[in-house]
Amino acid sequence: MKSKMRLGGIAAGALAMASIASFASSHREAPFITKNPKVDSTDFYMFRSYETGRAAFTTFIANYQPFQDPMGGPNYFSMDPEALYEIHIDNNNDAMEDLTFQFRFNNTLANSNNGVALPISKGDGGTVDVAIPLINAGVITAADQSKLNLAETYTVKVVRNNRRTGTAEDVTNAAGGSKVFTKPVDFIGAKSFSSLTAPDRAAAVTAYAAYANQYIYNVNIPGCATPGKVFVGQRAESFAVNLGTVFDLVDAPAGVITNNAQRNAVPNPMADKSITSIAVEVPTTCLVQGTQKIIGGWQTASVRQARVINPAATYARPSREGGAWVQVSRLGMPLVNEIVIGLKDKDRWNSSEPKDDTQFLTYVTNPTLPALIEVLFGPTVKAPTKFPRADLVAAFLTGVPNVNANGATAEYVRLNTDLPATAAGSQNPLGAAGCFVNGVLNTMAAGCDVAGFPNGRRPIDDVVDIELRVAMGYLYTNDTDAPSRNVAFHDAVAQEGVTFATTFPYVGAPKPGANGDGTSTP
Amino acid sequence: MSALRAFFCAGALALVVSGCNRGGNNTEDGGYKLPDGGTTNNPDGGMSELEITDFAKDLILNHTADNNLPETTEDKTFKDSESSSGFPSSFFQ
Repeated sequence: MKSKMRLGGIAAGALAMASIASFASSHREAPFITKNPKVDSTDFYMFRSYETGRAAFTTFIANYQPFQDPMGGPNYFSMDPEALYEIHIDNNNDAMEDLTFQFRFNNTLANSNNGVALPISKGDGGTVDVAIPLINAGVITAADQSKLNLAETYTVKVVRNNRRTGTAEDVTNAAGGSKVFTKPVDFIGAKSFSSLTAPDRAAAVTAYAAYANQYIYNVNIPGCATPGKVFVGQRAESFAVNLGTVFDLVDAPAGVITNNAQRNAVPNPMADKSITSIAVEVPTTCLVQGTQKIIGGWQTASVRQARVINPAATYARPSREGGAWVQVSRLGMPLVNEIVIGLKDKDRWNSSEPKDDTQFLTYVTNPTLPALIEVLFGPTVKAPTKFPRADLVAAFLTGVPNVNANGATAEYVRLNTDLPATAAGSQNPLGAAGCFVNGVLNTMAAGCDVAGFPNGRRPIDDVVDIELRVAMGYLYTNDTDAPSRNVAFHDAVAQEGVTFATTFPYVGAPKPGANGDGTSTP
Repeated sequence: MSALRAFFCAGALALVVSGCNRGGNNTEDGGYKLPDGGTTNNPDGGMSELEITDFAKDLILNHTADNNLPETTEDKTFKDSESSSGFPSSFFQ
């Protein structure tokens, strides 16, 4: 009985939290962040590790830089060396970070930032060395990166207590103790990862995986008795959504997006995109504090407050930046800033902290999304009629009592680390939503999976479908409060169509920027 | 004239506007401490305009640290005289 009650709480909370958000993820969601794509947070995942043998760990994945086309050379998608990328964890219920992982990047060209040069004829029998315009000058393999023109490295610090004033310590390589880690170069194309004379796409895909995987590090985290893992690199876009259709006033036939059998009716328009993932796996015992097993997590990106553009730019100094760090991107629960927060407040949201979230309360108590859907698909589709949405407020800002409520009033992803992970092959993309039937908890329901969103968030969780349904009243138990509560809303693109690994870092390798046959279409 | 304008552009400035936290360089009466030691507060209580070039330069030269908090901007009035001497080439070395 206790188990059932707990489960019900999880599902209810999950769905309620989800309902305040909807549709797309957090790609280019606010006006100001569109000017700063390198620091644009897109998706945040936090879950008990489900890799075999890693049950004692929790994985965090923070994605940045949306809409990467694999062929996006010649610079591709290195991280911003002038930015600060962070993953925050609250483990004592005060809506403020207690543990922060900070990532800083450094990009350098070969030959002391002069780059790889080729000897070009001067026409008089001699040669002159001229720098090449590309980031590699030949084939790159797991064993040989000497042809790389661009070296991407990063450091990781763990900060305890306040992110700015707390104690920062270096995360180090468990093998050798280095403080500097390598980010693999993006998947330039088949030729760059197979052969100059006989490029082969399949061979390059295998080779790139081997090349990138060698930069999955076992790391010593100060304050943690057991080593964790770190990886940063380009990955295949992990988020599936019918993006253009959704933002075009949900330009899809009502008969399709309300028919559960058509959840995968159209191709995922994000399927050929790439993303840059920062992934870290931490011993769970190192994340929690005392008997409190519920943690809250979110990602941010910050840049220096002032940027002065160098009128005589160089590779090393295109601008001079300084001042304090200023947060310009924030992401916890998916889609909140994208579709819940009003346009006028989206930039403010990105600069805000969870502890101050009551300033956005009206967007939760009186959400516009259900009303928009009713307008777009009426008269048969009806938004919930009961206001204010106190259920959403409780779940969204506080979590679910006895499940993942932690006493904090804040928007971030909550994970009860006491609840075990579901094995990869048994995960339900609808997460805890599958535990509810007709608004009532049924733990025997097929696919009931309490380890899924919004008890944390796993890569496979279809947050779009879950949130859309809950927004329209899926949790209500009567048709008066929510006339369309049992309509199986979806975006016609299924999250489970994305292929994920069953081992850290879980998010899959990207597609090549060229295929080795003269084409570059993914 | 275009050459002059180009020179002004040497100081092209992008400020990341912060809407948060305290102003660590603010004076007790709410004015902003200028690099020369003065403040933006006028004796008559009004706010004077702050040269944005000076503001940015001061941030970079004197407030670049991992444990600083951003300066507020909405409580300040900025002016941009497009000073050609704002950011000499040595600033970028």
